Amino acid sequence: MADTFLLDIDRWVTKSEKRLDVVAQQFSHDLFRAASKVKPGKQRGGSVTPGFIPRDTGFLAGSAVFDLNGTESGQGENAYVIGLGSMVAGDTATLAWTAAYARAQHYKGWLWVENAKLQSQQILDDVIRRAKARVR
Amino acid sequence: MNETDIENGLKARLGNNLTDLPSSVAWPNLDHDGARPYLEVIFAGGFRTGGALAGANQILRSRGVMTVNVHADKNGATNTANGYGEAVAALFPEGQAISITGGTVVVQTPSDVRKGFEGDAGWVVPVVIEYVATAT
Repeated sequence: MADTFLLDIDRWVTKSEKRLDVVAQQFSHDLFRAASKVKPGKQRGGSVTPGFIPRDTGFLAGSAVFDLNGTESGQGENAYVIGLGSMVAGDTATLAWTAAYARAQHYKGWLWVENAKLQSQQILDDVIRRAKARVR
Repeated sequence: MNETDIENGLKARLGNNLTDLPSSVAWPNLDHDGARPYLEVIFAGGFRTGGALAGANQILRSRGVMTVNVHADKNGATNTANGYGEAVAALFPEGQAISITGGTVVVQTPSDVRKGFEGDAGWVVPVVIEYVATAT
């Protein structure tokens, strides 16, 4: 009886930890994806649109750098996709754009980071709902 | 409550309190001569939450961000632009409620005075104001 109870607790803990990892990974992935949408920039006939990275030459979008717990593990567009595979709950994932003019473009009105941040609660709610269904 | 009501409320809060700030403001979608110092207002977001069950156009909340870029001259001390940034942030402290038509806009976090950078023609200090508008 006691053994079965302990086994149940053990399974519950494992399942909870798995869910935490899935939520951490999936939330980071979905948030970074929301912050990585691209649109033609002004040189290619586009106009300033909040929530998008302007793409004229591709240099800005391609200057993305992903690091996990301070160690760089990806560069370029979608740099975060592979690196996030080894993320567990409690890790710190960072996505940054290193082009010298990234901040100027961002605050000029493209605001891709702010726009993704605004959606973070919605993304988290959605990820938690999916994790409950997936991890059994 | 709609996006125009929200923008008008936030714009009025800034526009009616320019005593310690540059009087020149570049409002969204209006021409500006670019004479520094001036403030540039940009809106992003407008992510809505509704509560209708049967196709009614009911908007309960709308989340967004108002960015106020302080544009100052190049080759000057950064103190001036930072000071203007702090003055803008002081107009939108965390928890500040602004009454608008059909609802209330509440500032969600302390407004950020982000680090300045060299813009196209001057020094830029962005102030980022996160808000949630709630219908009454």
